[in-house]
Amino acid sequence: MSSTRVTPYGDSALLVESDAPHVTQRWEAVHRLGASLRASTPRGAEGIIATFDTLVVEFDPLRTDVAELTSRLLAEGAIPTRVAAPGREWTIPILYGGDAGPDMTAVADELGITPDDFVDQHSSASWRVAFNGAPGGAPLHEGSPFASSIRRRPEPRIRIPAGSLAVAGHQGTFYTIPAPGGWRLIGSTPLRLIAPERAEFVAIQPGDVLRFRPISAAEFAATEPEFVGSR
Amino acid sequence: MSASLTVLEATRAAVTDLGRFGSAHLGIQVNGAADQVSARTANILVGNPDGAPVLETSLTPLGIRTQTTALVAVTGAVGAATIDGVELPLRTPVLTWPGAELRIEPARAGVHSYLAVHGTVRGDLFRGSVAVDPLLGRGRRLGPGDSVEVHDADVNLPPFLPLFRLSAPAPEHTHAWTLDVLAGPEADQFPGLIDALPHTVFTVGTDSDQAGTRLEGQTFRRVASHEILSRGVPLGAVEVPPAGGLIALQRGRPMTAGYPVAVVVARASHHLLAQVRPGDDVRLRLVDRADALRRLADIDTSLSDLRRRATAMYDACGLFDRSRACSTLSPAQKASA
Repeated sequence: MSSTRVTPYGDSALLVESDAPHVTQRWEAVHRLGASLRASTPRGAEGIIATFDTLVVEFDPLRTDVAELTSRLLAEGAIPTRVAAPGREWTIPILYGGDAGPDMTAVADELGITPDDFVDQHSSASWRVAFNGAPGGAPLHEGSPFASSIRRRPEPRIRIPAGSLAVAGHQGTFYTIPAPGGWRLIGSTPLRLIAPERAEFVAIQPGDVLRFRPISAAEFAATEPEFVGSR
Repeated sequence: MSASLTVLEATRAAVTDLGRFGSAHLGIQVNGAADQVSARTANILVGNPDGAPVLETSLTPLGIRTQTTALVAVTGAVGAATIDGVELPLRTPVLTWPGAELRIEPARAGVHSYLAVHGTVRGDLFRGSVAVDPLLGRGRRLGPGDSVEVHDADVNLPPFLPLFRLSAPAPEHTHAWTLDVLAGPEADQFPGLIDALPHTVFTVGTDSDQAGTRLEGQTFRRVASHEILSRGVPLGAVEVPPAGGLIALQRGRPMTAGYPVAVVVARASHHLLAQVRPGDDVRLRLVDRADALRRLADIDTSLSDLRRRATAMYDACGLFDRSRACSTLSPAQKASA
């Protein structure tokens, strides 16, 4: 049986950590708690953020009954996790390297493989989306096929173009909007990853599976920049 | 009826509210009024809900012409405010008249000032909030010549100023701040940090922005080396990146990050953290949870008292009562105003 720790995170937030033995169980546990809180939101809650193995609940301590919230998190956290059925599978077209992925050659070099091998291995892996993070609903994904951890850039870039696919550590992410960032850029998709005009905002959800299909510069240029969720 | 404002001068000004709550799990920042106490105070003074949209101006003057009668209040880091050159009492409801020119000058200390207008200031509503989101390109920044509509702005009195003396508490802005903090999840990974706080004066770094305020002057080394996977970071979390300087996270912070968090600024100090300027001195005072919540309750009581006084006065004179006859200006009054 898994257990859950709930500790104060300042006076207006709780940090919830799962002690389940396996990384997937921890992810499953904190996301199940997050979904439950969003389904019946405690009074005064301001933000409910589940990531890899933690859940952070931010609230107004004058409006939220923290003791009640803590009890609820401990009680729901004690329910054994089942590994959820995988979510939807997405195949995202990616133009690797060059201007679309200026760090790809250097990353391959650090991993001791050729750029072609990097593209093969990166696009053969199936990556699981852990959460939608910053900035702009970025689908953080894990399942790296590479043995070593990939270093971040020593200095973040000021502005990364929307659609950029990046790696760091054993994780990957997309820059869904132009933003600063220190992850290594390996490619780019011509598709739009978020839809601010829609209520759901994102299409790619935690638990979904990402696969990447290498495309040519010509296919990139010829692809309509439509929302990935409309396809 | 609607009121209309014309922006005469604005450099760093925007329409905002208390923030975009409930979308953090989509990686959407909360943003919103930097100094929430001043924004709420301004709204209470003009009979609005605490979270109604207001105009925020930062470090720069804001000039507005009110095209109609409007009930307004100015709060925050204001040096002086005038209407048609006449000095205006701060933190006090004021009735302006058609064509009146309102000007807000920044103070020498503090950053953000607020102008509330009775009614609903129209902004760019996105996921329940009009707050500016610079990354998503949402929200409404203001520039000279812009027109800002205010719905349901009617008030039942001919214009004069000031209206009532409601004695909203004045903020204590300075160049030497003391912020309350609580121990954070990784406090024990920075030996000596907590003990050093009482005799450490940090300087606010120049590359501070709406995402984070840099506190420089002393660095701290982490004894643990394990990686922290990205997780949610609450407002006021003080991160210690590998270089060892401190970053206090603000309302424009990314909602997830992987740096260790040594201390967290208490909620009762968030409105002060928002007002510190590059170059200011900052002391961090360790408090316990009970202390932190007591101070927060004091602020809340003060705002509730102000709300009670404002409501009593506005109800007594029927200022917002649409059934009253003494309401709108006669054409003669309009002509003379």
